[in-house]
Amino acid sequence: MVQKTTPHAPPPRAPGVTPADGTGPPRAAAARRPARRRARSRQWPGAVFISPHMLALALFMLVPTGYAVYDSMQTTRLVGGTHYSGFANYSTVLHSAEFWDGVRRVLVFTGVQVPVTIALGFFFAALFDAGVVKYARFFRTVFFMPFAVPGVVAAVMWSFLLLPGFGPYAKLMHTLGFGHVDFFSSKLILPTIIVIVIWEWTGYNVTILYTSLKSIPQHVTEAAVMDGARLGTIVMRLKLPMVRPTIVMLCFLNTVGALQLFTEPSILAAFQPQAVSYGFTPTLYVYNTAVGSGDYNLGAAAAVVLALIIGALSLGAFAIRKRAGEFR
Amino acid sequence: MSGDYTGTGTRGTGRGRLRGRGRRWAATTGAAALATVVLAACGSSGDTTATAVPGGTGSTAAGGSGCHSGATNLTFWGWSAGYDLVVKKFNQTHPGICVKLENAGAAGDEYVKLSDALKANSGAPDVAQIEYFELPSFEITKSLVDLTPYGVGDARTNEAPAAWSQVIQGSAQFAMPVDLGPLGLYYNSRVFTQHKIAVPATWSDFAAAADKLHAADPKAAITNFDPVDAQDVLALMQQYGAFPFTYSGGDKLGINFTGPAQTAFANLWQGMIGKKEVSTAADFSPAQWANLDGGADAARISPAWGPVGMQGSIKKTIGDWRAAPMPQTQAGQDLEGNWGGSTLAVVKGGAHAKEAATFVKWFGGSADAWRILSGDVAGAFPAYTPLLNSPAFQSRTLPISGTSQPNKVFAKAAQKAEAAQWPPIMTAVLTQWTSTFAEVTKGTQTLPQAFKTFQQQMVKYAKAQGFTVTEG
Repeated sequence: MVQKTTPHAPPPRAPGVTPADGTGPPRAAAARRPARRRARSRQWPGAVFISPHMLALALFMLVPTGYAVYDSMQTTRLVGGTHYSGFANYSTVLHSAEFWDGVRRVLVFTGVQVPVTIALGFFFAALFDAGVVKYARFFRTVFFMPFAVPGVVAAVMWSFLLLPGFGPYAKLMHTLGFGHVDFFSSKLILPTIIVIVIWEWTGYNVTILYTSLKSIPQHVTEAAVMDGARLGTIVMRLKLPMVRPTIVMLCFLNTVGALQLFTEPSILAAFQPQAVSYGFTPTLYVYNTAVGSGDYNLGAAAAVVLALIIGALSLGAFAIRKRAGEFR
Repeated sequence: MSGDYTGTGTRGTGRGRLRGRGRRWAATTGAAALATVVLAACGSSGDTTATAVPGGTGSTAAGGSGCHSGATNLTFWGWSAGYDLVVKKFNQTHPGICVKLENAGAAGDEYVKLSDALKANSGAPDVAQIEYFELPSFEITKSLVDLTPYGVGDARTNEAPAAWSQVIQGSAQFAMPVDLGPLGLYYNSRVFTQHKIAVPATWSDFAAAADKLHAADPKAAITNFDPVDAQDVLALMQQYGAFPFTYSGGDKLGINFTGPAQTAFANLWQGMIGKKEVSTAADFSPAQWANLDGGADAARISPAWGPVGMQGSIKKTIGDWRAAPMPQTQAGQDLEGNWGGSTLAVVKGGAHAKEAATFVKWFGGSADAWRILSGDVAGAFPAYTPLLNSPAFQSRTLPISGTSQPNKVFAKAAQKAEAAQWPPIMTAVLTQWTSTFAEVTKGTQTLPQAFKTFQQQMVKYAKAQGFTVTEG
């Protein structure tokens, strides 16, 4: 199957590398570079190594997606059974104000949560990297801990902390003279979720960025110090640009994650049902339509639309990264 | 909604579902809200029922299942506390049948799994616990075995009429009733005495009492009304003579949230909500318990199983609560409502329908089973009349109500309650209810407005599902 070619021939596309569609596992992009550098003669073992992943991808990604597309073109009714309905379900989704409200809300959420999380992540990573923190190893672990807590548990914990008339923060706000603050009111629910998700994800970003900062050769920093650069200058003018590819990648990962916001609002909804509506986020809309209202066909159509939106955004991000020369 | 997927869970949003059903389960098991949320959220089969109970039933043969070799095996999906003990007793007393209890999740979670198993034609249990309101959703997809040929109908003489009519559709019987949740009014006798409020006999008395209490103490509310809880509101509507659905099988469905009775109901509660004379905390939330315990809520309209959760969550006012019959729309009437309760249904496709029928008939309709079901562990309120009518049961006392005997009120309500005609679209009702009625809690819509909105939503949904819908 694999033919030898001259070394000068352009490297063929590595087997199994699919265009970024935003649906694959996050590390797919990172794995791409070494794969493409490999000489052709070494592709056969490569294909063997990635085949389990491809099999899993096919079984748990492509087949269900195909089924979802098929299901979205059917309409099943309680009375009268199932019939082919073409794009009727898509039309319903595209005309659903609730669905688009959720899309807008999640875009606002992403626009705030992702930059703040990455900025905080970089701030703390730089702090640890600069060696100005005592017991840095201990604190790095502490920072990472929220990420190790499952999202469900974190959301439950935060719900208790923020519960009006019950949690300590509501009391604190009252003591501070803010009156009765309801973190789950329709105005504050989105900021509340943003805070929770930032809390959960900052440690993850710290860890990645810290590793990336550590990989900057020591002599580069030393040279800057010799030239008389201050710490702030080194961090902002030297290190920040050097970890830019990492930050771009984190933007990408965080954004894809943010667009799929589901766990936190669904748990908060259990505590404060009035705060989180049926279509609070697009994923909740899909879930509530399919499982909640039992309309699997409409749910499938909404899921496909959502996948297309995220796919388009991911491809856009991919194009930007490619133009920025990230993929050589 | 697919024909095969009708009974799908309402757990999804975590809202309609979790609340409507998980919460009832939470209340009955007395589990903390946290546990409920965690379990429900994980879709876990949190097996609260399988905990060993010290000194539960009389100890049996070694082993555990109590099964005899060569017995016919049945699987049973159920989640309520104490069901394991009842099953054990059955296995001991019925050598030919061996029932294995599995917890497939509470309420909505289980319905989702059951629907999936039915669609896949594999993995469904022989017997499933299904609440009254969900039965029609499984009936319309022809997923349940008609128990009439197996003689389960004999059990009728021992069942409260409301329970029995809810398992019947036409000439078929699709389940065996187990427990019920008739409504009654628990009031804080101290607060009522302090403010010289008489126990309201009618709903206008009730509204007047709300006025009087609120005038005397601006922080106090007569009770809590959670607009977001569909089952709570539907039970109250039923008691008020304003149940919005009419359904008797087939493809004709009546939906009426905007008729005169429904509007009167909506206006009554909106009046009290608007004047802050009732609180609107989420049912079974810490806020609600705090209100009951701190004197902010002077009464609780409660199903018979309500005290289980209440007792676990209040401290200061324990012993102060007295039970009274529900207020009536007109003096002298006797309208009762029901909130909750389960049945056992035999699922189609199993090879042992006859044995399964024997099991469900015994489970809901035998003194042996009810000795355990009405015990401290299970704490179910019977639809089984020999127990309902027994002086020993009626004279029981509860910690929340001191030396008074609330079962007298609830047993009477159980006998007189009328059956609700649950629509086969309850899954969607529960899911879509939450968003719409949250507007009432937020104060961005009134209850009559929410009724109007919901009427349109449900009519649209039901028509899309192929029903012939009658409005009004």
